[in-house]
Formats: sequence, C-alpha cells, structure tokens
Amino acid sequence: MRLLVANRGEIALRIFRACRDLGIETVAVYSDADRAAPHVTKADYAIRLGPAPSTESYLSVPAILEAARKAGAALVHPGYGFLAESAAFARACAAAGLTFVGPSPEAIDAMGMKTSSRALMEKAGVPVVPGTTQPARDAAELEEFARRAGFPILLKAAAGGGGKGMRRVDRAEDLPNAFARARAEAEASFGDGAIYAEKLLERPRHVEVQIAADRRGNRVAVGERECSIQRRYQKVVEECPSPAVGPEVRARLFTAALAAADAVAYDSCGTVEFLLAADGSFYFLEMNTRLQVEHPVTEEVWGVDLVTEMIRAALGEPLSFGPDQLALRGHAIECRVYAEDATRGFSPSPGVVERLRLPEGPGVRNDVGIEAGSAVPIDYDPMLGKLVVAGRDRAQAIARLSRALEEYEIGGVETTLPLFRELVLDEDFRAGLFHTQWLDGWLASRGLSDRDATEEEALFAAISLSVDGSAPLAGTSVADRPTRWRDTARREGLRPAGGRSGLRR
Amino acid sequence: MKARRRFRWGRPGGEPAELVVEIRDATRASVKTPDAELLADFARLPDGRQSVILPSGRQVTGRTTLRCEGRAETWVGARRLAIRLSDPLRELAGEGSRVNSVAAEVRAQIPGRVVEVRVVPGDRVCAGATLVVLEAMKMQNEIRAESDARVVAVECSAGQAVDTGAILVRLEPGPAE
Repeated sequence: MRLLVANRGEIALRIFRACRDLGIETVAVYSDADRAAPHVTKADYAIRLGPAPSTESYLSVPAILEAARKAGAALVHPGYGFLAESAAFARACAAAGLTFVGPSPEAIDAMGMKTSSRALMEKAGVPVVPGTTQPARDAAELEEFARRAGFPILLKAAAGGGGKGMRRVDRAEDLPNAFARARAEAEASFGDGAIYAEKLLERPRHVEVQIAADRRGNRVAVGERECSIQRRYQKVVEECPSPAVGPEVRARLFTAALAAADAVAYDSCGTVEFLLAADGSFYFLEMNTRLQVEHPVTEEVWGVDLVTEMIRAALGEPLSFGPDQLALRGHAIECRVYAEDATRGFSPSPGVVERLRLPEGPGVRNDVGIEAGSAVPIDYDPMLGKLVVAGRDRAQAIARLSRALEEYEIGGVETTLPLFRELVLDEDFRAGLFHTQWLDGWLASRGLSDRDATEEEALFAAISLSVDGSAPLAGTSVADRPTRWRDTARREGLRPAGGRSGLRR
Repeated sequence: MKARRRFRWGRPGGEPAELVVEIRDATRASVKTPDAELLADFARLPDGRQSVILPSGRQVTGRTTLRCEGRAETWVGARRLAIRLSDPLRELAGEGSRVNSVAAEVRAQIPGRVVEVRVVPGDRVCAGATLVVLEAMKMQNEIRAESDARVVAVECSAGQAVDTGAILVRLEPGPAE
C-alpha cells in the first residue's frame, strides 16, 4: 500500500514516519523549487507537480490526483495548510478512488463556514461567545443583553468591519452615548446604522481540545493544548497541558469538544478551538478539520501517535485506545522555528541553511523539514521545523527547552530562535501567565538582539581569528559563501557585499 | 607559525580595549589585554570551528569570521553574539572606499505585494521608521528607513505587486525632524 502526502516540509516527513511505522510506502509530490528537498529525497516515490507557485503545484488538485495515479497511491494525506481543509479536494480524492486521510467532506464543509458553524454549535449545546442575534433598536435592549452577559461588551456594526462602529462599553451609564455614536459611525461608514453587541472577553487564552475519532463512531478527547503565545494571531509556542486548565475545566472542555465533534459526526483527527476566560468560562472559536501543526505536544504528553491513528481510521480500523486508556503524563512545549529574523521585526529570511545543528538529549524531539544545505524558498510558509521538549512537569520542560535552545544552531538564514531564548527567561512565561495578546505587547516593549559577548568570548574571538595565520578573507568562509538569493540581491544592489542585512537594519 | 595580531574590542559600556594575540605554537596562544597577559590553549575542530581553553579552564567553542569592513561575526555555541571586535588595519583600508551620503534607494528584498505606503515625498523620517508594508511569504513586512533621512520620491503604491529589486522609496540622508 502507498500513501501520497500532498504537502511539503516537516509535516510531509512526519507523515512518512507514521507510514513507515505502519508498513506503508511513501509518495512525495514536489514543485520545481523542492526537487532536492528532504521530503523528496526521503520518499520511496516522488512525482513532480509543476512550477514553484503553490497554485501550480501543492494547490493543484488535478496535478496531485495525476501524481497519485502515476505512483499507484491508495491513500492521500493533505497535511496542514494547502488543501487540508478543502472539502472539494476530499471529494475529488474519493471520486478518483483514493482514500482521503481526514474527515468526511461534510464535516469539513459544516465547520468551514464560520457563521453556520456557530449556529450549529449553539444547537449542539457548545458555548459560543454570547451576543445579540438581531440589531438593537435602542440602548435599553443592549443594556438588557449586558445584564445577562455581563460587562464589558463590544458594540459592532452589523454591516461593518475595520473597527468602524466598534465600541467597548464597560458601564450601563455609558451605553446610550456609545450606542448613539456607534450608530452614527456605522451610518456614515457603511450607510447602515445597525448595531449588535457581543460579550468582550478580556485577556482570553487560546485553548484547544484534540479529538481523535474513527469511522466506527468512536470519538475521544485527547487533552487540551495551550496556544495563547501568538504573534499577530499566529501561534508561536504551544504547550500541553494548559497551565490554566485543571481537572474540572478540562472535563467541561472535553464535554464541549466532543459535543462539537458529535454534531458533525467527526471521523478523523481534528481540533476544537476555544477562548478561555480567566473565570474558567470558555467559548467555541472554530474546529480545525485536519492535523494541526502543534499535534506533537499532545503526542508527547498523552502517549498517542495521532498520525498513525488518522491513517488507521481512514482505512476503517478502530482507534487503538479508548478514553480510559489515556493518562496525562508530564508537560510538553513546542516552539515554531521560522526563517524570519526575530531581531529585525520578523522579516522573512529566505536563503540556504548553511549550518544546522539540532538539539539532542532527554526530552527533545525535532520535527524539521530542512537539512544542512537546504534551500528555504520564498514561495511557501517559512517554517523550518518545530522544537518539541517534554518533561515530568512544566518546570522541567522549560529547563529542557532552555538547554535545547542553546544547542540549536541554524546558520545562513535568520530565524525565530532568538525570540525563544528570551522568552524562556521571562517571569510571566515561566509562571504560565499570558493571554492571546500577551506576546504582541511583550515584543512591542523590547527589542530582541544578539547577546553581548563576554570578555572570555571576546578573547575567544580574537584567538580564533589569529589561529589561521591570516584570518579567513571575507567571502571565503562558510558563513559568507554567497547563496543564490544573496547573489541576486547583490546583483540588484540590495545587499552590500559581505553585509548581513542590506537596507533592512 | 609565529604570528601577532592586534584587535580593538569595543567593550559594552566601557572603553575600547586593545587585544594583542600571539600564536606561540600549534596549540597555544598568548593574549595581552589592558589588564593582563594570559596563555590559552586552542584546537581547530574538523568542521572548521575553534575550541579555546582559557587559563581558568573556561572552554569556548565557536567560529569567528572577519567581515570586509573589518568587523567580526562571532558564534559561540549555537548563538551569534553582538561583538565589536575589529582589526584596526582592515578598518583603515576600508575607510577610503566608504561611500558618502548619496540618495539611497530602498528596494524590495523579496517579491511581494505593497499593502501600505506610509510616507510621501518630503517626509523626514527617523532611522527605523516604517516606509512601506510589503506582503510576502504570507507575512506583512515593514520596510524601514536605515538611517535618518528625507523622502525624495515614492516609487510604489498600495496594491502593487513588486519583484525583487524593485525600487520602493528614494531617500536622501539627513537629519530627521
């Protein structure tokens, strides 16, 4: 049996490993930018899709179906991103006689439309952020809602967006004035003064529940993950379990997540995302009908292999565990390592990975999609890999993370590693005290930069430069070897020869 | 293999210090600092890195390369360090070829789409001020001024797709206001 992974990078390699565990042969697909990429060179079969742009390669359904036919694949796993949440792709696979490793197209559709999924969840008894369903006629109507939901509330323009007509209200006496102004603003901006209200969650956490299910009707909640450390709404660090969730909240989260999964007869691995308030109340955000980037932290703590479960489920086999066989053991943390320059505003840093030294030792797992010498193309998501550490508790996991980050060397492209090295030192991070806007505030309040050399390190630098008799000439060392990207940049006058960052300093 | 080299080290928060390194033999080097003279053991590793053991027993492994402007780039362990270590001779040699203040072109480093233009011709901007927001690799990137400058011309507009090397903004160095 052969399984085609319609994806690239670390997730393709992760799925290949699950295939090998199951005795399934692996099929890679690739664009012209990825011919020499690890996901191709580590596959049993590899089929070209097309040119570098995603739309002509990893997003091209006809090209992927043709590749599956050519390689004789029986199964197709979409990974995450690209076509992972495309019901049309799931249907096209089925029509071509291929088994799609993921949920039913109906479940993808039902959860894909955010407004209708909210109504569906309300019907299933899953808590959603309280709000008025009809535009308010007057301030009194809003006050009645606020009394039920509690202050603060957020007034929103029904026709709107972009902050126009949006107003935070903390007290009942402010409501009439806020309503009048929001209405006037909405009227002026959108020609429609309809205003509705939503409960405003202050400093919420992003907590999500992993669901594992099969095609025989078994559904199990496999713990929650804490994903509040986000930069501009993108997850950066994830952990399992959440430091904010105890047994009581966990039990309620599981019940709600399973109700959500039941409502769409979910039959694969998926994730139900919630916003968690400080008082332990939580609200449905969305369901991701796919394997998540951060699935390894769950695997490390709950002792399950989510990817093999997903493949087994697609083949009609039952889950290999029930809820009673699961036990939470220890704590795991994942850092997403991106080819972005954390010390210069997270600007993209495509190029060639000239040096790669991965951390090792107890509790360390590396899910990476690169090797030394790998190109990081500008065409795709700049994630290089994920560093996952596990320990007996959160304190040990953080100690191991700290140790692993000091071993992790990537040269040739700039990365987000400097961010994590600072983050592990932060008191609030170590105490688990953060929320979804915490990291943006943290980053705005400081600059990340390379650590100053100590005197001992300065002596080292002076000696090492002297040792070769004549110091290596600029441009001849490994770190300085021109890359194709840098060549182009120099030709175009973007980077001064030998300079590190060109104009973006 | 006797060799002697001088370096200037800009100590963070202190006076620059001169370091004089003399290679004694295949494994030993002496270093003279303003405060002391010490003898260190060094070894070249197969992957090109160096390991140095100081008299205290402190061991440091990493790599250092000298950039063309005479400054060093140093990695110790897995980290790049901020270090102002220069070779005074090379610095002098580089001085003559340094380019003086001329109008600078701010270009796109990667292909993308201009999301926002934050400046208009005539604006005076500080070093670090955002000029243009460029979307590429699914991310919004703020293109910033490298130094205090005056905006001479804006060569792009919001919504426009740009290729690598496209000129976005022309600047003229000068004090910000």
